[in-house]
Amino acid sequence: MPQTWVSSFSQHPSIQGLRQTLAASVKQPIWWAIPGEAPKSLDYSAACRTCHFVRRSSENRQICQRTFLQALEHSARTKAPHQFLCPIQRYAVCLPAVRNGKVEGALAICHSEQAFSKTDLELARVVVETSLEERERSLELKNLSDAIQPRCVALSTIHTIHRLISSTLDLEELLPRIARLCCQVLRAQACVIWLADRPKRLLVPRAVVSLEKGKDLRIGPCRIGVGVIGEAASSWQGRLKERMMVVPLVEEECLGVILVRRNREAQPFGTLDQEILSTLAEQAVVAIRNAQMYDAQERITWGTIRSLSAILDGMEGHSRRSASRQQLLANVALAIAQRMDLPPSQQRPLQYAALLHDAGRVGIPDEILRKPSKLEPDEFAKVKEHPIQGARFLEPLEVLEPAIPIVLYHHERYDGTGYPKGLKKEAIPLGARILAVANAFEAMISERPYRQAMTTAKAAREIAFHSGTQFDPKVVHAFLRLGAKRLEELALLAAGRPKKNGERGGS
Amino acid sequence: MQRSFSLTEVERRILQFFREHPQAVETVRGIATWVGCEAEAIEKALNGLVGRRWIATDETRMVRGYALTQDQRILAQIQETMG
Repeated sequence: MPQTWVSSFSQHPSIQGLRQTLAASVKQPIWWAIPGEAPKSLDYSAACRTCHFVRRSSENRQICQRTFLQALEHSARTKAPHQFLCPIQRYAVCLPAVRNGKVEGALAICHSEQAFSKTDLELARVVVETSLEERERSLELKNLSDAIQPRCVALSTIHTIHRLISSTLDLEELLPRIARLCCQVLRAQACVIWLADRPKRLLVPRAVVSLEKGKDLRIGPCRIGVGVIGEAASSWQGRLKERMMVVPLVEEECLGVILVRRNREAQPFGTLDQEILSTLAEQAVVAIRNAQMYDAQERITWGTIRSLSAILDGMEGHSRRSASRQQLLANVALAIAQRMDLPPSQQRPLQYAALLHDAGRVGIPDEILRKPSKLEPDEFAKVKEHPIQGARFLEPLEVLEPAIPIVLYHHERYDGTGYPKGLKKEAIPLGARILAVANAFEAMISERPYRQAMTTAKAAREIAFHSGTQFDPKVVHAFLRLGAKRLEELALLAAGRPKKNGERGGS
Repeated sequence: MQRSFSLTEVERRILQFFREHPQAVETVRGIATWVGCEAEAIEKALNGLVGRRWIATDETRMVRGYALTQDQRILAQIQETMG
């Protein structure tokens, strides 16, 4: 972007047009765009191409320069055009470039065989004026761009952050993400996010990010109303210190507090930083609230399905798996799904299906379900209907829609000899193939009236033996990679080991 | 001893943008707008810079954001390479 009038003079297209018009009248002019009020010397590289006198010797150039500098000095002093004859008696003119009363340089034209007419001088004046105006315009544009661009980048950053955090509904993923982004945007070395536990009047640290190597922050809970963090939560007021900023996460109530910290080598925080953190906090509040609502919704759904499972359990009496066995089945299915890197959107329906896959057995007479001996063909035909019945029972619940194919096809076999449709290989939904393995494993390690429970190791060997016939080899591979220790852990977890906060009995 | 890197023009422009705006978190399209290059060329250059850990990323299934690293050792290396 041109910053002196000389660069505008040599670059701007409209000035090129004016110069061409003037050149037609003057014939072979030599142009001089001279910056500064009082130049000490002139650059003759362009003039030497046209003027034989200055080309001939440095002495000639000295003679020419003396004449020229005197003329420049004259025009700068009078702030008016000054026409003169050069050493070889050609006509030349100097026009000062004046802006706001200040001489910023001069335009000179020489090597003319005739004196410059009034029209020529007027045209030359327009060239100078236009060059100065263009320079002004360029400077204004640059100043405007310098002022606006950082704000545009900041706005664009806020927009990107909004997109990053608003598409995250898992709090465990969301909070560290917000903390990382706060560190990035504020060039901070650490960020901590506390969320409020209102009944206990506590702020519990939920995300801690420290970029200082070897400095793991040990952050504990804070009491609401006590200390810098607690006061921010009770007063809804942020705090700005040189190396630390605290901003409450406020909606209709205080959801928590964000703290960011810079180390001693970094610049101190300023009010603009506080403004940025407040903007981030406003976005974070919406994202956290959405994630919390989504989590609450998930818990309601999960609770409803567990209740439904328990009701079915009661309706079937002892013939159905106990709640802990259902839980084991769900845990194993989920562990396999996670081992296979299935996205959460496929894991949840699998968990639901694991709890409700035998819902259709409600319609099978008790004497068939409890029969200790081999079933007659007509009895087995009734049993084979339970996946279809189960799928029908689940249809009215919209949230269970993705779980229905899993329930419907969990008795299909990989080689196509299963029921109800005799589907083969990948035609069987992946969730159903996973549930088939988990179901068989759970059944084998459970005691039955007609046989003892197998060990987890033996059950695993049995599943491996049926890989490729009854079960999908990829699912079996993932199942076996869980290992005996993990399978034992899952069994213990299902048997009633106290669950951690927030755990849904899955992983 | 630190490894020295030669930078492509697009990589240089991207790093220049992030050095002028170290707090920025931007998408490929955003960076393409700021540095005046095609998004495809930007994405390719970003992949290289992310591989060197000069540029950090944060992504969801919907969007990927790029930002200048905060690692002081790497920032010094960038400074040395960019001059």
